[in-house]
Amino acid sequence: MNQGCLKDWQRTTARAVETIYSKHFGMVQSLIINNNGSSDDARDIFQEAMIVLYEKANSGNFELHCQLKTYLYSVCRRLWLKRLNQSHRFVLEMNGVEETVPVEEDIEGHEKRNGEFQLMEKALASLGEPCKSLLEAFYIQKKNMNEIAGSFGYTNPENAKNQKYKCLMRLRKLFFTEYKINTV
Amino acid sequence: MDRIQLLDAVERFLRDEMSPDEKYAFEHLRKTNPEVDQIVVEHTVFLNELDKLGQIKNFKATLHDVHNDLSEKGIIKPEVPKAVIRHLWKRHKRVMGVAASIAGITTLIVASMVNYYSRQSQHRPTTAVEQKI
Repeated sequence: MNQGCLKDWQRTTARAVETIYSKHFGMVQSLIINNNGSSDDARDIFQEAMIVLYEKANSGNFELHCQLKTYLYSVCRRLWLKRLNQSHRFVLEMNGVEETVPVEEDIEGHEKRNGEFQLMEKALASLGEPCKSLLEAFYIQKKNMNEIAGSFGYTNPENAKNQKYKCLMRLRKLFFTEYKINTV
Repeated sequence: MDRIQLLDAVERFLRDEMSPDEKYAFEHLRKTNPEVDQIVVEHTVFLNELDKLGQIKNFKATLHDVHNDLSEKGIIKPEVPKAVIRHLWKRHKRVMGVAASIAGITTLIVASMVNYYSRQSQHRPTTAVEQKI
């Protein structure tokens, strides 16, 4: 995916997100507020549920056997209960008015992937500069080597590319070290 | 082929940037050299992880922007828990009751005093000075 495609994808995604957000955020906010939470908690939980939905949609076998509203509500409810348990806050009975569907498998998958992403982010942060920004510019922002060479001050794209690969090898080493520490 | 050249070849192969001859030579190298094949597989997995991280970071930025945009437009608004208002009322209703009673009594006293003194001034005989004026 090049930068032009990335911007088109981001625009299409933003429109879809806006529609889902306007229709369903209020319902989730009410659930959280009426169960020992704040508006900030509601924002965090709703956005995490949207990521669960996004990952499910990108998994290649996306099938929803209920309304989108029901799915989002079920995920938010489960995520909020987990968060309350972790911070030793409790509600006697979760007050909610919507029906729910089982979402435990999707949430477990999301938590596992989230763990891996956090390892990668930690490894990226450990690289320092210019490696962190260089790798993010190429692999995340999808900029091309000419643009990167210009903005980072390299004399030509070939030098920038060589530096990129040196940084990438350091990142691989850091990532696999962190991965082994966390999975042992 | 050194490590950097190999990683570059893997990335160009995955992005379909190789010429047909180059692609053929690379696939032949993979079939005849297990170590190269292993590096290709590992690097492909690693690049997929990096790519997915990028997608999630970009998606999170979109969520953040949409939330701020909808808040500014008033389409989503922060909610105050009804339970907090009820809780505050329950906790302070005695104090509020006492305060209201004091305010009520004070108002009655002041009103009575105003009424009394205004009547007093109506019945009082006028002085010589006041008569001259």
